[in-house]
Amino acid sequence: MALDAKTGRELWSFYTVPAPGEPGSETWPPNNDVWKYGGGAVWTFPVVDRDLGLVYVQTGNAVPPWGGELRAGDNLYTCSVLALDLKTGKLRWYKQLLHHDIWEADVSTPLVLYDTSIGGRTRMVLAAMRTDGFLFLMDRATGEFLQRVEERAVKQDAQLKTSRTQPFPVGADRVGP
Amino acid sequence: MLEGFLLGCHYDPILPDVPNLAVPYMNMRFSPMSYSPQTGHLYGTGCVYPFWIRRPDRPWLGFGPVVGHIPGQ
Repeated sequence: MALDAKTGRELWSFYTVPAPGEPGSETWPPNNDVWKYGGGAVWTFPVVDRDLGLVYVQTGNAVPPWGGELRAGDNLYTCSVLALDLKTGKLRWYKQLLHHDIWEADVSTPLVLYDTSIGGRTRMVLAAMRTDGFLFLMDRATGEFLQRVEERAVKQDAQLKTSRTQPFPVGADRVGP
Repeated sequence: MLEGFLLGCHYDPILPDVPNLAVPYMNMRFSPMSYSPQTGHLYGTGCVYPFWIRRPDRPWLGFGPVVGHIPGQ
């Protein structure tokens, strides 16, 4: 939500879980209302790029946290990085860093913006840390990944309606085994 | 690993009928990261530890799984 700093008047708001009919709602089951309680909490502060006119937020786990059986689909925009238009709150781009979360895998480390040279070209970087210690680097204007990210097959469970794949940055350092 | 526990992975499905799953629980959350243009490094904090993780039968029951340190670890 954006508020007028002088008056407190609401300027815009954005819900991190889309309502039925909105883009992204197709990633929630149509036969229940779990999306209403769907999670996507923003646990830490957003960051702003005034030059690009974007505000970036990172979202937390889906709800119920371990109840994948109730919410078939990717469950946008949980466990994601979102770029919103600073003036309107419209979604400009997003990247979901974990599909159909059943591990309470918030993306909750505050995002970092910096400029650096990659391959001889200056890039405007957004760094996002997933809870499991995998680091994702994106072009903060477009959301394009700046390293190769693979959708890898993961363990499946029919009861929990697990996602067939999860994104992993190739060759990235990580925490843990 | 303590007798009776199953050793799993961070991304193992957490199932109601598997009450004794032990996983490497990885945590990088909430604490801010920083970037140094002098070194080109990103700095972050995190931890990994063995964790006993389980969940109730009903998905809405309680806030989350019963979790804790593995006895003896």
